[in-house]
Amino acid sequence: MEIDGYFSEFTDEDLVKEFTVGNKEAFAMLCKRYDKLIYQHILRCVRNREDAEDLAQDTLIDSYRQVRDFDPARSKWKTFLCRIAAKKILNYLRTRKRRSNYFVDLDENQNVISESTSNQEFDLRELRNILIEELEKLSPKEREMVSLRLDGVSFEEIANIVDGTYGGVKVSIWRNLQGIKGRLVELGYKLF
Amino acid sequence: MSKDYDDYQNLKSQSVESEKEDTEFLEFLRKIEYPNPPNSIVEKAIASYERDYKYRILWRSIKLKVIEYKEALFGTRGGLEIALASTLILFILSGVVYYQYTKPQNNPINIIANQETPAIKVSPNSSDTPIATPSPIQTIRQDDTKENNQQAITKNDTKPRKPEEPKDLYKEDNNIAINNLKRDKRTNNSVKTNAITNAKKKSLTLSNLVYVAVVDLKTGDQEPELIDTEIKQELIQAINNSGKWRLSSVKDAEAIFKKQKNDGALVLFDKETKNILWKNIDYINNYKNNKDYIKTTVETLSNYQKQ
Repeated sequence: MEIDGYFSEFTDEDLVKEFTVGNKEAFAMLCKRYDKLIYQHILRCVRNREDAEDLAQDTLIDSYRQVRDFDPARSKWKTFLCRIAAKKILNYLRTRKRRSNYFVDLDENQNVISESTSNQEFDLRELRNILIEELEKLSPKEREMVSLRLDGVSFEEIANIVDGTYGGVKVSIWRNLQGIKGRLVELGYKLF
Repeated sequence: MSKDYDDYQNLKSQSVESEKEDTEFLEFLRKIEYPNPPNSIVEKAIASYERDYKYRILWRSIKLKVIEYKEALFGTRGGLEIALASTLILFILSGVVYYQYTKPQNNPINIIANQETPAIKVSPNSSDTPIATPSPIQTIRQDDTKENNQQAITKNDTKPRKPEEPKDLYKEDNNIAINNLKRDKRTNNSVKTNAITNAKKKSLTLSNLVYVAVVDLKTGDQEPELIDTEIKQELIQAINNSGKWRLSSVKDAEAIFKKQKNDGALVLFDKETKNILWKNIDYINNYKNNKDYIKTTVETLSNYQKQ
């Protein structure tokens, strides 16, 4: 915990410098900063927990292996990680064979539904499944862009990750979000 | 044409609308929670990092330790006592290691390994007393007799030794063995034990001696001198009277009395190994002074086996 506290003051770039000279704690700190983002982003795209875990793990491992390609002047560490994840997701989506029983409930083994689960929580859970189904209808690249935007990644960063233009990315995300919104309204969800 | 225009207008309107992001809907979607990543993801990634970066991690930890040590050494962070103690321990250890690896010639194993049989070296001036030298270090090989004997004589000439009684032969033998072992006290216990065993084993060689031959006491092709012939007869008589040794032919003998070619000393040497078991360079004078000298000497040497 002390180490975490010590490194929490460090920027991503400082941590990268540290772990490249053998500071294990710095790398651990970076992993802890971004594992949730990477994992949830991958999970939204691949919709399979085990595969998402594997891909997230591979992404973190590749991040230090490909650290020579990281240029702090050109992109942030988060962008660099998302680029690695994007490539992995695209490769995965290209190669995976769709099976009828492939998709698994994301709440599996998590006991989310309990007696105390409120209607609102239940609605959000169902909403999540619909959102993921809607994302499934998009192309892998569009799905990535929307997912990254949901994770709070800026348009510039997304454009950098998917090798697109700022305007193109912004329009694509807007259009796809409008489509999802229309679908939810169609299903009778009261959004706000 | 009109369709293209409509598409263009549509795209244009989308671009304009997309300039204003639907933040409310985005925030709504962000409320949806997803499962947290399991700890195993980070743990496995770190384990993989440790494997791939093991040398860098090691090098970094060494550098940190050195810095820490230097800081402790110069008192900027305390712990100076620890730093000094570790320096001292390191110094002692390096000394021990240096000592162990730079003194291989003192290792008795090497010496003992090259020696098989003990010998008795006799000072030329200690006319009456042969000195048993069970230590392998003092063993004289027949092969090296020319140089070694000459050196022994020179050395002993400068420091004449007081004659001792023949009956102390065994005692002195043991004392020398013990002294040699004390000298080798740097070696470990097992080596010491080996040295003791070896010394005891080698001291038995003289005591096991039974068949002794006497050849003409002459040097080269010269005829033996009268005194040498007389001494030879004394030797034969003494051997026959000893009751322990048996006079035999040269062929059957275990050890032989002869006159050494280079220095004219009377020696008793092992026929097999050529090791000198007893030697006296001044035997003629001793015999002239004391007619029982030969008899006493043979008795002493043959009785040696009784001890």
